[in-house]
Formats: sequence, structure tokens, C-alpha cells
Amino acid sequence: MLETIGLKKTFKRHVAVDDANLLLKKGESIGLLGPNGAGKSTLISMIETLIKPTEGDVTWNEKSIIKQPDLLRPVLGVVPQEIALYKELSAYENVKFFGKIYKLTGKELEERAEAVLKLVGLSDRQKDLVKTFSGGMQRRLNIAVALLHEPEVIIMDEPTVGIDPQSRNYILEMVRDLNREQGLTVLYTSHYMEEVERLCDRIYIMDNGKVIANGTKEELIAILSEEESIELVLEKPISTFKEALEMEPSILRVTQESNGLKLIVPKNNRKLTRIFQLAEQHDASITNVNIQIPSLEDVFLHLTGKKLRD
Amino acid sequence: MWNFFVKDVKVLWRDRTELMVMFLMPFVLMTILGFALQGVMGGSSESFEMEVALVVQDEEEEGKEKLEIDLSESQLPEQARSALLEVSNNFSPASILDELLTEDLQDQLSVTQMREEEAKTAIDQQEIDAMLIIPDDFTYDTLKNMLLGEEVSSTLKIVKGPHANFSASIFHTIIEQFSESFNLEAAITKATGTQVASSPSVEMEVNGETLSVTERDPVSSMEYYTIGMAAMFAFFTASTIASKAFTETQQQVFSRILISGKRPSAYLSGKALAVFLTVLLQLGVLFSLSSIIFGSFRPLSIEDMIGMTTISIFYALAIAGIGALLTTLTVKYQSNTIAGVFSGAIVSIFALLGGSFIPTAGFPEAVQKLGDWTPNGMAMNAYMQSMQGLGADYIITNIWKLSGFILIMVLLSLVLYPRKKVGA
Repeated sequence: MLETIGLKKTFKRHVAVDDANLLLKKGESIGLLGPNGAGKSTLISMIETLIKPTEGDVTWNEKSIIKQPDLLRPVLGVVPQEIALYKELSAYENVKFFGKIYKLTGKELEERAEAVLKLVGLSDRQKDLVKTFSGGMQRRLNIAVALLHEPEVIIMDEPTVGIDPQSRNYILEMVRDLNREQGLTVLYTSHYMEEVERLCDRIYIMDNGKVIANGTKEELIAILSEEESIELVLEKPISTFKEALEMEPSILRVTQESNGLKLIVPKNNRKLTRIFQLAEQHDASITNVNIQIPSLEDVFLHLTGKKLRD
Repeated sequence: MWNFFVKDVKVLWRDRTELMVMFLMPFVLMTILGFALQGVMGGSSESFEMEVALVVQDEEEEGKEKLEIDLSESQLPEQARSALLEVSNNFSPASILDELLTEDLQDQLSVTQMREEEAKTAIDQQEIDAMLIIPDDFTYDTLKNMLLGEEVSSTLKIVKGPHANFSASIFHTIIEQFSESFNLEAAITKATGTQVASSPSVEMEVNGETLSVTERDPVSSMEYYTIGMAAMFAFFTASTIASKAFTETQQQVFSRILISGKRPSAYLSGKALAVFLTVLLQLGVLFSLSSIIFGSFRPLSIEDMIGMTTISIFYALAIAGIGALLTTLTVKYQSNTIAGVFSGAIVSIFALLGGSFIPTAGFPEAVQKLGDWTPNGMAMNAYMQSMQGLGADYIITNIWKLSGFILIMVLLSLVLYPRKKVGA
């Protein structure tokens, strides 16, 4: 069990993480969401024993790892946001190097190298230099390296950034299998809400250095149980129409979408007639209307005031 | 450490741009500078001045009298005897040499007659750049060789001040030219006369080692720039390894290594060993190419090879130390600026002060002294001394200086390594 207790990190006067409490039970898959600058990376770095917290503690099986980082390090796998590999080396040379720093040798090293390369589907390309790999292949190898020493916990910091949908799907399936079938404990951060929804048992949402909400997907969506969203597809964007909607007391929030506007309104109080009236007044041509129950994205927006990918 | 070393060497060697910087650029530069600045190293500069001591142990009149006795006791016909006596009375090798130094070369040389002990002290105190000893029986032996064809030769001895390598080399060349032309004239004398001798009448000895004049040339511009450029470009290997460390921090590979719990010493020593072996190879390749293509460093004796290899090992260790320190500072501040400033500015300053671009003899004394403490300056001095056959005693001073430098680099690297930032 990995736990952060009242964790705080201050850089000069800036409080990057403030009183963060996080719990990862054995075999759980936890999502950590937050807009850019929310403090996710700092929090992860403290858990990874890379940065000392200003206050608070991180425990592994109820023992502090601040004083004894070596309790956690051998059972921790890390997939950094960057491609943390040597691009001038081949996939096999990378795996072998990182295996050796985890004290794997001889036959065991060979077997583990073969196993992880097979797991990420790179056995055929293991002799090729990493710099010749596609983004998706590099991301897969980035994960393989973290799994070499058979960790109990894996921390994945946006492991699917900038890759094609097929590679992304491959990675998500792999992480889900590792978690559900092999009992690997996962802490996962992403800018893709659907990834977290698909993979994680529980979700923590951070903003301005604080954990502002946590729970299962359903528990979080329940925060917005009294609301629903209306998606208006517009022929072209009309700024005066958006402003008029924002002034309307019955509409709680208006956000710009790629093809129109999204409105959050109180449940059972949609006032669609008023919306159409305003559209007519401002010459806005509505081509489609979609009424939905709120998504996790809406919850995130509600809590942080920002979209996840802002 | 071995795992880190293998990885660092592979990463370094698979970067073609870096390979060009490490091997091709110094080779091109040494070729250009070596050919372009041939004149600078020839010692013909009008503005050049040096202080030398002349130690005359030879008694010219006594030598001539001894030769006269030899002639009178010889079996030669009377006519030949009187002709040779005539030559002997009018031909004074020591005086010719004295005249050459004190009159013909008075713009370049300031010659003071001293006793040998006085001259040694003056060299130690850096008051003079070199001394020339005209040995006892120089006149007698030289004339006997020339006129009677006996297999004796007299040896002029040059002692160079270790502080004045460059100017002392020029003095060496002057004396060498004198003995060459003297031997030529002597050969003509013999050819026109009746006697024939196979050995040169005047030989030279430099700092205790006897050499015939053709064996040991002064350092050529090509040799000088081979050493200069090799010493300078070795620095770039250190900055390159630090830049690779920066990439490791940026791409979070360094975090991965820290999280694995590996000791800093394994990471640092892997880098240092990679720099050490790369620099050693760099020096070896450049020296070999210069020798094969341009005929530098020849003839190369076993002693010379041992000397140059020893210096190269210590210099490569010093550069490995710099590489370790730059790596430490790079990962500590997570910035490439330090390696950038080193390769962009400090290397140029070191190269200039240490004499990689031009010999430092023309610089003010304080600047020269500063240059003697730069790593490339220490190595260059040691290489020059080794090539001039000065022997281990002279080289060892610079080896000690390099060892001190290595120690400082290693200690600084270990002390400054950012272990406190990690939750250990």
C-alpha cells in the first residue's frame, strides 16, 4: 500500500503541492487528473523518491520512504512523460542497460528482456536503434523498460502522449491486462479523460497543488447529478450569442466547443425555448441539439474551471 | 560502472557529428596550421631575442700546440706537415663559433661567458634560456679529426632551460646549423687535402644525451600543431559527455537511473572512463596520422614512445576529470549552459594560454606562467620536453601537476554531485 500523507512541496514562495493525500491499495489502478501546472508532476516526483517533500510523508506498506527510499525503489516501475531511453542504442541494448542497473544479470536478464520486448510487441525490432522507431514504438519500449524488474507498483506519467490511435489502444490494453490479470498497482496520469475512465478504479483530481476531489468515476459524476449538459451545434460561431447565453441566469456555464457551444444547466430546467429565442435574436443558426448527462470531463471543468487539455 | 561505461561509449561513438569534432576537425586544423605556420616555428624571426650562456672549457692555443706536437711526431712528409700547420694556425673552430654567436647573431642572442656552475644556476633561476658548453680539447679534437683524419670528434653540449622550450629549440637549431656547415666545410677540406675521416668532427649533445646532428630535429610546426590540436580537441570530448548527461536529465533517463538506486559513483565513473578511453584513442589516432602522413615524431625511440604514452595517459585522466566535473554540474543544475560555456569559451582560453594555437614564448611572463597551469599547457610542455629527449626528470614535474589537477577534479565532482536533492 502506497500512501501520501499531508504532502507539501514549496519552491521558494511557490507552493507546488499542498496537503496532498493519496492512497494506492495493492492491485488498484488510480488516475491522477489535473490541468497543466496543477502539481501532478511534483507530487509524482515525491512519490518516486526524486524530490524531498517540504512537509508530510510518503509511506510504502506503512513505512516512510522519505528516510528509506530503498524500501520502495526496487518494487517501483516508472514510465516518465519523456521517452526516457537512449535513442542511439537499440531496443535490446536499452533493455539490457536498464535491466543491469536493476541488478538483473545472466539468464534472468535475458529472459526478462525477451519477455518485456514480447509484451510490447517489439521482439522483431529489438536490434534496431530506438531513433528509427515511430513515436508509438518508442512509447511502448518506454513502458517495457519500466517493467523489466517486475515491479509491484508502476507510475505512468502520460504514457500515450503524441502517438497514433493503434499504439495508444495497444498500450491501454496492455496496462489494463497488467493491472487486472497480473495485479500490478498502477498510478496513471493522462490528458485523455477516456483513458482514465477506461483504466482506473478511482480518480484523483488536482488543481493549484491541492487534491480537490477523489472517488470512482460514478462518485465524481454524482457531483454534477443535479445538472445536465446541452450541446449546441452551430453553423458558424457567433460571439454575441455566447455572451447572451452567459448572461442568462438559468444557464450555469457556457464553454466553446469545436463545432458549437456546450451549456451546463440545472436538471429539469432546460429552458430550450429561451435558448432558441436568443439564437434567433443573434442570428445564430443551430443545426443540432444534444442533451446529455454530465461526463467526467464536465466534472473536471466544473471543479477546475479548465478543460483537461487546456 | 562497466554497464554505464559501455552505454556511454556506444552513445558517444554513434553520434557522427561528435566523431567528426573529435577526430576529423583536429586533423584538418593541425594540417592547415602545421603547413601555414611553418615559418613561425623555424626560428627565423627578426624580433626574437634570447639569453644564452657560453661556457668555454676549451683552451684554443693549448689545442693548437698539442696538434703541432702531433704533427711534428707524425710520419707525414715535411711539405704536408707545414701546410697542415698553416691551416691549423689560421683555423679556430671555437673562435668561429664565438664570433657567430656574439657578432653575427647579436640581434637575436645575448651571449654571456660563464663558468658551467654559474650557467646552471642561471638556468635554474630562469635568467638564461640555454647554455652552450664548448668542451675541453674542442679545438684539439676538431683539428685532429679534420687534419689528421683521426676518429675523434668533439661534442658541443646544449643545456636548455625547461622554462624556455621554444627559444631554446631555436638556439638548438642555430648550433645545429653551425655544426652541419662546419662538418661540411671540414669534409671539403678533407676532400681537397690528403686525409679522409668518416666521422663528423663536431657532434652535439643536448641536455646530457649525445646526438649526432641529424638525429634530433627541433620540434616542427606539424608536430607542434599535432600536439596542440590533439590537446585542445580532447576538451571537447569532456564537454560532449556532459552534454549527453544533459540529454539524460531532459529525457528523464537520469531520473530512471536515480530511482533504480544506483550509486552516483557508478554513473560518474562510467562517464569518466568513457572520456578517458576516448581521449586516449583520440590522441593516439592524431599522433599516428601525423606520423604516417606528415612524418612527424620521427625517429621515434622506445623512450619517446613510453614518455608520450605516459603523458597521454595522464592527460586523458585530466580530461576525464573535467568530464566528470562538467557532468556533475550539468546534472546538479539541470542545465547545458556549463558545458556550453566550457566548450565555447573556456576551451578557447585554455587553448590560447596553453599554447595550442601559437607558442606561448611571445606572451608576457605572467601569462606564460598561467598557461603552464592549464591542463593542455601542462601536457604540451611535457610532450615537448619528451620529444626533445629531456628525459623523465623534466617530464615528471608536469606529470605531478597533472596528477594534482586530476585529484582536484575528482574531489570536486564527488563533493558537488547532487545526491542531496534525491530522497536518499
